[in-house]
Amino acid sequence: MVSFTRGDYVCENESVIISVNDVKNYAETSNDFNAIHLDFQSAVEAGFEREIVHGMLVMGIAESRLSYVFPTSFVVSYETKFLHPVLVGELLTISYVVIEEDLDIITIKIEVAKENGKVAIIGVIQFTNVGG
Amino acid sequence: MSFKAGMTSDFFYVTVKHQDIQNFARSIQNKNPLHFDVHKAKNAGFPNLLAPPTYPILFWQIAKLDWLDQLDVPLIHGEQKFNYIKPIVAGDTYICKIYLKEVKKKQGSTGLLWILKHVLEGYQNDELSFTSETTLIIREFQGNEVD
Repeated sequence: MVSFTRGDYVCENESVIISVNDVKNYAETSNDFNAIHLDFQSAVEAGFEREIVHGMLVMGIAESRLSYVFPTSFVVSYETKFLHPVLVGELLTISYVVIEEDLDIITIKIEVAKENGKVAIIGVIQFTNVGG
Repeated sequence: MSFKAGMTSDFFYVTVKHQDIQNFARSIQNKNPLHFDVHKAKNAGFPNLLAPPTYPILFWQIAKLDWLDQLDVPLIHGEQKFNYIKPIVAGDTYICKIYLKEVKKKQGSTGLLWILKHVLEGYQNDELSFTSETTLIIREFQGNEVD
């Protein structure tokens, strides 16, 4: 396992913009074609400024960025709370901070911040190496 | 509409395929070779291509959940958890079920909120391999009252 201590940032913050095409691809893969993700009018009628990104897509992307840091490790657990919707096309900033680290398992807090500074998603993920 | 803790889907089977793992990894922009290259996955100690940790969300497509199917209102995704006893890899077949673990009502600023905590369990050879908890929120307003 890569060596970190509590409070370390695992990597630089990630800047992400999730596009209309990204959302469309995810809708096709996940079979989630809820109109609030794909249609401006439906999103507005539901109370959103514009189309919103699937929470699971943001959760997936947030973990994907960590695979560069832990390329051969195994995720033991991953949990998130969806606090504010992510708008399609908005700039997100994702941070990764170690909250616990022992011999076999590393626990990382993930925070996805919206363009307006509000936290869209908070999460905790645990990695172990395959033999752990 | 009616929800009760303990409502359960029938058991259903899911077989994990190479292409499904690769397509899903692509859709979440995950370029980790363990999700695409069998040799690299095996060299890293996995028996086959490794599924990304959020992969079991796809299993919901197969389950039939009567208590949600009849709803005509948006479902808001509140929380999500995945826990693994062993990794999901290509070629695995799981017997799964989804059940409603907890039902809560809460007064929100715009009306009543129903908070439904679901658990998906995946078994191999009668042993639990992973669990996934999905909390969905339904806003109740006049016209879509819930029992």
